[in-house]
Amino acid sequence: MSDKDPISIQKSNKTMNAFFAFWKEMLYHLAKNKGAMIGMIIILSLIVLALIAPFIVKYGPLEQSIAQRIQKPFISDHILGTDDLGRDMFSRLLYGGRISLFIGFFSVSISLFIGTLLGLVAGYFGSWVDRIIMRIVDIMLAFPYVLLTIVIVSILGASLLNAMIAIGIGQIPSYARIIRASVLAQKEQEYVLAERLLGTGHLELMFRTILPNAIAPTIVQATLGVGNAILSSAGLSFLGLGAQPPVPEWGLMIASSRQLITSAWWVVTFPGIAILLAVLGFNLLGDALRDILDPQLRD
Amino acid sequence: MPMIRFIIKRLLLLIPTLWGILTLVFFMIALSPGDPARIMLGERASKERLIQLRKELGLNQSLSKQYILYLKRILKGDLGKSIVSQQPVINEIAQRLPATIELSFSAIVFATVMGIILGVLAATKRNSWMDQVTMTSSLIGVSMPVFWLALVFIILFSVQLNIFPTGGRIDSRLYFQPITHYLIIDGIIYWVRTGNPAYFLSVLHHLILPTIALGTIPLAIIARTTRSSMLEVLQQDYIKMARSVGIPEHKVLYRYALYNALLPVITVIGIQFGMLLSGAILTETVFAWPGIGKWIYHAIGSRDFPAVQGGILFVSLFFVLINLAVDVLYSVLNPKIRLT
Amino acid sequence: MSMTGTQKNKLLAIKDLTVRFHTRFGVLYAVKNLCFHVEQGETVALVGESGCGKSVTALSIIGLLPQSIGEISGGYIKFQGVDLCKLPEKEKQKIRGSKISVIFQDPMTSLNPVFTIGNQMEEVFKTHEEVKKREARYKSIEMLRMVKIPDPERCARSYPHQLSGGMRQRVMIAMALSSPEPGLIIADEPTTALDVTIQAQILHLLNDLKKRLKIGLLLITHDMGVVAEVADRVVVMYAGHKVEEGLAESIFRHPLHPYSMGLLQCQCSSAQNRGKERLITIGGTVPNLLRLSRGCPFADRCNRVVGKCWDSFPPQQIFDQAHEVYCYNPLKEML
Repeated sequence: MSDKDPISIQKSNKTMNAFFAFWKEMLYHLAKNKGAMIGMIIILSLIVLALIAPFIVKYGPLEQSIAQRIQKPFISDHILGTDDLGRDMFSRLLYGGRISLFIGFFSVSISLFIGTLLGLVAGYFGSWVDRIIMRIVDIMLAFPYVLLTIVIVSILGASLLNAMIAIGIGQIPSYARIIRASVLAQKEQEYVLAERLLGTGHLELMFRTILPNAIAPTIVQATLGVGNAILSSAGLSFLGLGAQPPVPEWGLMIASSRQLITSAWWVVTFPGIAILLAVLGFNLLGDALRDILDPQLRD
Repeated sequence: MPMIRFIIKRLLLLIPTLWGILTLVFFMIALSPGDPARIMLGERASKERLIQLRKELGLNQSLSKQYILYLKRILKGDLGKSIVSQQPVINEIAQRLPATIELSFSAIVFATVMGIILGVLAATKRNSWMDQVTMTSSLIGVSMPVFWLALVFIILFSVQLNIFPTGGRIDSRLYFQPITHYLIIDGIIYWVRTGNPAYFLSVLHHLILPTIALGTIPLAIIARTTRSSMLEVLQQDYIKMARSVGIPEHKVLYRYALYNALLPVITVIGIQFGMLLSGAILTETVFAWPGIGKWIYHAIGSRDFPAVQGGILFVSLFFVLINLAVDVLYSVLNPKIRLT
Repeated sequence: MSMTGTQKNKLLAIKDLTVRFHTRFGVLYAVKNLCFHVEQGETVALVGESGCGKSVTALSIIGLLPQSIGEISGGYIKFQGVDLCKLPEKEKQKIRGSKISVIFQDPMTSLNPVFTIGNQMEEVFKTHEEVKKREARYKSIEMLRMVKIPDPERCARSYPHQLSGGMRQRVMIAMALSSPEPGLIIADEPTTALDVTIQAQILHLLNDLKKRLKIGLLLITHDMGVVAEVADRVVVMYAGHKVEEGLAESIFRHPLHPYSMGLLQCQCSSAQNRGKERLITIGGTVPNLLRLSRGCPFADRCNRVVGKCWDSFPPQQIFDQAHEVYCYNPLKEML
């Protein structure tokens, strides 16, 4: 009578249990990995700082002050100094952190969703659908990544949002490939064939059965992707194609202060260190995840 | 000759990719916001002139017609004319190509030599401090924006310590007529001819900092790859076999293991070289290095569409060709693929 | 053939060999108090399931245990009277490949994929003798001919992936013999990775070479069929311990240890019955070497187990014709 008969409840319970067990084991391995722990600490710190930023800064990130221009860090009132427009570096860095996190998650979300979809469809349906999708993916991959993002931003117009979209689009091929590989491998497995014999529909098969098993490697890609997105955004801002002044995006902060290398090195250096730490955190975590998920766990 | 057939097959596979790139770049310009005619002629242009220019540029025609014209033009080798300089884009690129290649090449050689050495050391002295340091610094290396690293280098070594110049390829006070435009080579030629090393030394002096700055990140990646490849090779049965027949350890490492381990590294080196070239846009300006990258950078800033389009097209094609060359090289060097 | 032959006759004499591994889960003993010997001109088979310590023994003999985790913690390995464990690395290198050679299990992965066969063989010659390239080349080809490879010149020019499994194994044998005075060959599962049809050929080739060159052959295998083909004497191992030793004939006619009996039954059933009856297997699995009990390691799989088996490892019992067994309840009725 009800739409959830006992068998399908059992099925979904089993899948859910296996799912949770998998994640529990992964957390255990993560805790043991030094690199992962450091990475997670960095990322968590970043998130916390981003959240409490408005409450711990003395000055706003956009507040200019001619009188306070080019204050040295650590000595003056401004902990990390000010730039040539008198804006507080500490505040700008923290707000820049919010932006960077947003860039990372937004771009990765785009690539993850669209890439996964494309990979699923290509792998599952095969034949001409697969060929067309993979052909497009290959062409995108043949492009040097930097240039691809430049091209896309040129089409959309220079702004931070468009930069994020461009970065997101640029990463689609990686996810599509990963998912597709997994789908192809799973198509031949017994549990998939069994489901098909039971008459499970295409959509349910793709999303309920195949997809959960295909996600794991994309986690690695996504984690590394956040770091990647932050770096790419910095690059695009440097070219004037990303964030526009006065947004406190870290890359833009570096780019617009090039002329200060002789007079105010901290304005150039600190945003870079921020990028370095943030990306390092994601890289550490991503690498650790990759090691854990790699079946060859030999000693 | 199966090798030649292999190369030809790869070249043929390249065609759809090249077409895809051409098309993508076309849309880049065609769909970008703004009116190229107005940008070219400025704000005060008269309506008639605008219409006339639009006609000249073919902007009033349908998109598909423009596309065909574009393809025809490209296949003839005409990459358009720069708005800023009024010179053919091809010429602008040709003028600046040697500078870019010289820097990229120098950086990749530096990265390769140091990277392989560090990678091998890290692998053979596993878990020692050298291993940890190499791995950590290589992870740090890939986490920073390359243009920032370049700026930091300049701040440290040029501004603060004053060891290296802040930019340019050569001391502008020295006058010399370049021959090959590869200034390192020119410097050597001049030295040999006149016995005066000043030119060569100046070029070298200007080349060192950008080389190290640009080469650091590829170095990190190459070191990592060498290390992991070496470690994997050292686990293999044939290494155990070589040891069991009594081959001395140093030979096992450097003759048996290294050759196998370096094969995948070659692919990485090639990829990094390609990335250096395409990343030149971000790096050359920092060093005021007069190459293609810097030129495209300014072209973007001044909205010089034909230049940007031509430049990106050229660099992309170059990139694709380098990847192809790397693939072919790998197939030649790996007997398993060469002889199948 | 007396078991108490003088030391001088024995090519290889191993006594109380104990090998320890330090893993992240704890210490495990891969080999415990192993004693056996190989004399010149004889073929000794070291038999047991995977993981019983046979390969570790082989690696210990040539000193190639993974240094970071494995070590020889007891006993000696005397080759031609010299204790190998006490030799410095340089001396060990000199012996490897010249006086003691190993033929490994998987010929596909044991040959370097990027060098030609000829190249690899020449290296071996050049390592142990002062030869010029031309002479090394000549010797390599002669060696390939000796292992009955058709068209040895072509083989020398080929790369490993271009040869068949049987050919590769012959190449391995040739490499193992590429020295002026070979003394002992250790063959670790030399036929497992090969077709059944080729197995016999390879085994007989090994035996022929042994006879011709008057050397000793230590054959490591889990396959009793292989043992039946060429072995003179057999040493049965289980979980790192020796459980039985004797002449091949004795072992086959009347195996005394329940495990040996089990091995023989598995072999016969698969060969003769061909699916008519169920395969006879030894129930249970190989014990976890990290958690060995005090008693006989075979106790929980043995169908003849008695109380004493759980308390301590059985002492040696010798029956006629140098047939020894370590069991509290051996199959005496077979005699």
